[in-house]
Amino acid sequence: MRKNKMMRVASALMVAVLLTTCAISSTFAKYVTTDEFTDQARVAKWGVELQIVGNLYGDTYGASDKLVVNNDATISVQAADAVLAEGSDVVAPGTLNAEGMTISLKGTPEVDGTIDVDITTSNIYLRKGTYGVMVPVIGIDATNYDEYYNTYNANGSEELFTSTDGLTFAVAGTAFLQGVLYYTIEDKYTLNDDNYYPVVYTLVDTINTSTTYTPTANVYTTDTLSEVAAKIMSNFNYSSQPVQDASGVTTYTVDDVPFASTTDLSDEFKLEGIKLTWAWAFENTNANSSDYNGADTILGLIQDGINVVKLSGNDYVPVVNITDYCLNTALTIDITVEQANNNVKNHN
Amino acid sequence: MSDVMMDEKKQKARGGATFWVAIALLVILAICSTVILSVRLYDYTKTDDRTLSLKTNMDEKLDVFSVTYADASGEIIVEGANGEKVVAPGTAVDYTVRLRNTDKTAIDYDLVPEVSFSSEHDIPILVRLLDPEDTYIAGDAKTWVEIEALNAIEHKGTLLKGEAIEYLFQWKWPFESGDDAYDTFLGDTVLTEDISIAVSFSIHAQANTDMTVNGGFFGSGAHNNVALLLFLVFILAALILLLVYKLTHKRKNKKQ
Repeated sequence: MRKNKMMRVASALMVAVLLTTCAISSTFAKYVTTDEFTDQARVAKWGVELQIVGNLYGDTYGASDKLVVNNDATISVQAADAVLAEGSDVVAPGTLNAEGMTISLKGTPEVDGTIDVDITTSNIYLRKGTYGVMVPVIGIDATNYDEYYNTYNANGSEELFTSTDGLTFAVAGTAFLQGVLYYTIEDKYTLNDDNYYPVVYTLVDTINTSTTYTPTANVYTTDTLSEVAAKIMSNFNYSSQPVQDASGVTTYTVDDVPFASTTDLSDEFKLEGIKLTWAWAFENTNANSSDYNGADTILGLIQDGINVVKLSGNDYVPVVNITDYCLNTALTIDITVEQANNNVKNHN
Repeated sequence: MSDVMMDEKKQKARGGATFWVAIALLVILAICSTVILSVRLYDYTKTDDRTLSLKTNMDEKLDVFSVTYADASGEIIVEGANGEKVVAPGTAVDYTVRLRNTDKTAIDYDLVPEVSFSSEHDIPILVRLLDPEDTYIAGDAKTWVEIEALNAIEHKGTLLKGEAIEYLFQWKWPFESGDDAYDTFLGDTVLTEDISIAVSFSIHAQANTDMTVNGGFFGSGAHNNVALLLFLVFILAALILLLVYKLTHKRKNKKQ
């Protein structure tokens, strides 16, 4: 009996040993680890805001001399072409656009970039000189020539001319010439000082109100769009010479002006909230000329297709577009802001 | 006392001794295994979060993305404001995921990359992923795949004790992705809306007790297998002793 009991104890011990051994061996393989590593990034900001808002010129101008774009009962100036048709914009003495157009370039992109700027301009102008319109003298012949001669050349003036081709006009002599046509000059006007640019432009920095254009001012006034363009381009390190084509259009181009990431474009290029307005004074005077009314008249006559002539040497000859005058004004601004084309690779 | 009686007495004494030796062995083994089991269980419960010793270069910080990106001359051409990590057209990163087994045993692991976007706007990032054998898991030598392809990847492997391996994760946002307008849209929209991307690498590791990957039966530096062998030897010895005792006891009973 005693030995049977001992056998049972031994068997129990055997079972216990086997069980615990199995348990021990199984614990060797149960360790598990789980880890997760995360990295996050957002899209780099671009946020470049480029706006050119408003119209510089229009088809119609109201009585208040403000540019209006729709027909109005108080219109004082209106293009002869269809209203709002492309290319029908007009300007005239006494018109202005106080609203103008506003250029805005701002933003702080987080990437490097480049800016391309193209500006083309053309101005209305009349070069200095003496202008007039030749009008045929009717009824002049050998019998009354002296009478006509003395009348047109009274008080030392020379206002009787001859022309064989209707293009070149020479001062008439004291003797009547058979076979030539006689003319007298009307609307004669002499522009003594500098060339006449009737439209005066004003650039106003509406954001940076202190030192945009000069050390003390945020307003810049000029009578040519060329200088407006040059002023804008100066913010882009423009150092080239503008190019003028045969039609009088001057082009300013600067490409790939760089800016670094996180640059405040408004601070860097000072082109945020730049307002451009213009005015053509109805009574335009100058220190050297009594007024520019005659110049305005000459420009209007040329626009009307009247054969205006200009004194060249001793003769009057027809005026030449661009050389003597320009009747068109235009401003185009093309600004492109792009991310710099630099592929980069980090090795982490 | 006759010789027969003397022999019987000696045989009886030997049988008793054998029995007690077996009993002693079993008691010792039972105590030992119980102690060891207790220790194991104590460790198991005490360090509930016990991890295998698997080191990665991601432990400190995962830098799949960067705050700044510089060109070949070192000039920074992309920089996130306020030290924020960013991605942009033209940026790319080669990131090496390093794993090193510093545990006492081999480790089976699963590497699971995952990508997620913070908004409905996908970011046109392309990726490639090479395993430690330089075999492409995503993309190939000539092809990049959309980053969403990472979500379909689960790569398994085994790290021997002390072994280190590397995965190469490459991403790029092509400068000419073919849709400049969309790239610009993302760059502008991020001013008012969070448009971000998150990449994660999950590693699930489990001890591998297979003798072949742990240097054979005696290859384990922890001598766990030797301990097991001793247990088995002792159990076998105790079993044999009990059988011998049982047989001799039966024979004796028959004679009686």
